[in-house]
Amino acid sequence: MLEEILIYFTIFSSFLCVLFFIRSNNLLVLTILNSAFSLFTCVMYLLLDAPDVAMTEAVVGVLVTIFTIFTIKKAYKNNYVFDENLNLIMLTLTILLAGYLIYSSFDLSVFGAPIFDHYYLNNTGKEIEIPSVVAAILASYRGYDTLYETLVITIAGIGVLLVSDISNQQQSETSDILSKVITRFIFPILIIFAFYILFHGEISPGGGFQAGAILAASIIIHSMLYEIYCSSSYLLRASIFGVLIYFLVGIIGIFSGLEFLNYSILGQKTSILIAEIGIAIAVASTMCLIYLGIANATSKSEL
Amino acid sequence: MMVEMISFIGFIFIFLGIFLCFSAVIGCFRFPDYFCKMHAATLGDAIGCPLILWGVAMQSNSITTALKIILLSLIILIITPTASYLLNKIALKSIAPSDSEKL
Amino acid sequence: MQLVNLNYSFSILLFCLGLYVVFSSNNSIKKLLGLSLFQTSVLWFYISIAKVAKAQPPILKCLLVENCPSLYSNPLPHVLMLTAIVVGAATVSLGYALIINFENEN
Repeated sequence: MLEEILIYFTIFSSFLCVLFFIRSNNLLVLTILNSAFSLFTCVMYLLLDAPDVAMTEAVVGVLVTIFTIFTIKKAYKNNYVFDENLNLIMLTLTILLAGYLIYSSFDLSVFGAPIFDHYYLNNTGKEIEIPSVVAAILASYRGYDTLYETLVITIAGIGVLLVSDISNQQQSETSDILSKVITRFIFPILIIFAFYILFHGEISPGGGFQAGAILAASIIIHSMLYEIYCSSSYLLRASIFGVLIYFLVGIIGIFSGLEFLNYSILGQKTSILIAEIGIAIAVASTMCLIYLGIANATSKSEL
Repeated sequence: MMVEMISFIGFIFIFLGIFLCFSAVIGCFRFPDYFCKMHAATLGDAIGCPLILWGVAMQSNSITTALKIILLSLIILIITPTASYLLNKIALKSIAPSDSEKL
Repeated sequence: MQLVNLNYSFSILLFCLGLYVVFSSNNSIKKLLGLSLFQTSVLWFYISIAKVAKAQPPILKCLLVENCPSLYSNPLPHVLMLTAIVVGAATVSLGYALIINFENEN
C-alpha cells in the first residue's frame, strides 16, 4: 500500500516537471527541470526494485546537467530566453499517438506479474557464484554486448574531440579559498567511494559504469577550480586502454583453444572484476574527455 | 528496552526533519527577497536532511548501516553550506542587496 | 484504463511528449533535452515491466545470509537499461558539442 502511494506521488511529481518543461522558454529553467526529472526517475527506479539503474541514473544525471550548463554558456552567451509557441497540430497528433499506444498496452501483463523459471536467477548461484545477478549478466552472460557498448561510449568521446577545438585552453586557478578547501577535502573521499562501488559490484548494486561516472565527477570538480593537468590525447589513450583491458580478458580464452569471452581460464569472479575495471576506466576517461571538449573549448570563430 | 528508546528518538528526529524541510519549502515561496529564500532553502537542506538521516540511522537494524548513514550525513553537512556560499557570492556580484527583490 | 497499469501509460505519455518537444521547439538545446526525455521514458517502460509485486531487488541473498527470500524482480531489463543510460548521456554530449560548433559560426 505504501509502495503504491509512493509510486503515484513520484509519477505525479514527474508529470508536473514535464508539463513545465514543455511550456518553458528559458534555458536555465529547462536545465533545472531536466535535473529534477532525472531525480524523480532515480527515485522511481528505486521503487521498482532496480538499485543499479537508480545509481547510474543519479550520477549520469549530474554529469548531463554539468554539460548542459557549459553548453548554454558557450553557445548562447547571455540570451537564455527564446521564442516558444504552441504547435497545436503536432500536439494533437502526438496525443492521438499516445492514446493509440496506451490502448494497445492494455494487452500487456498486469503491473507486478510474477515470473516463472528465470534462467539467470536460477543458474547464477551455481555457475558464477556471485550474489549480484545484474553484474553476472552484464559481464559474463551478455558480456559481448557490454564490450561493444563501452566501445560506443569511447566513440562518442572521440566524436566530441573531433568537433571541438581545445588547442588554447584558458583556465587559471580560482581565488575562492572556501571552494578550494572543500574540494581538496571531498576529492579523496569521492575516489575511495568510486573504488568501493567498483569492487563491491559483484556483491551489492554497483559495478563499472557507476564507478567510472563517479571518478569522472571527482576529476571534473577538481579541474573546474584548479588548472587542467590532463591533455586530451592522454585521456583518449586511457579510454581506449579501458576497452582494451576488457577485450584482453576475452582474448585469453582464444589463446587456450576456447572461444572469445570464455572465462574458464581465470575463473568467473576474477574475469568479471577485470572486465568491470576496464569499463570503469573507459567510462571515466570518456566523461572527462567530453568535459574537456565542451567546457574548455574556444569556439572556432574566436581564433 | 534501550533499542526501543533509540528507535523512538529516531522517530522524533525523522518527524522534526520532515517539519524543517517542509517549512523550508514554504519559506522559499513566501519570503520576499532572494537572500531570505536562500537562507530558508539552505537551512532546510543542511539541518533537515541530516536530521532525517540520523533518525533513519537510529531505526536501522545493524550498526554498520547506521555508521554508513552517519558518514553520509556528515558529507551533506559539509557540502550544502559550500553550495549556498557559492550561489550567494555570485548573486552578490551581480546585483546589489537593495535590489535583490528583482532577482 | 486500469489504474494498476499507470506506469505503462505514463511512460507512453512521456514518450509522446518527448517526441512533441523534439518536433516543435525552436531551440537546439531544448530539442536535445526533449530527446533525452524520450530516452528516459523508454527506460522507464522497460524497468516497470521488470517489477514483480512483493519481491526483492535481484541480489541473491542465499549466498550471503541463511534465510533467503525466493521472489526476485526480473534482472534482464535492468542490465539492458544500465548501459543504455550511459550511452544516451554520451550521445547527448556529442550533440552538445555539435551545437556549440554551429551556434558560434555566425
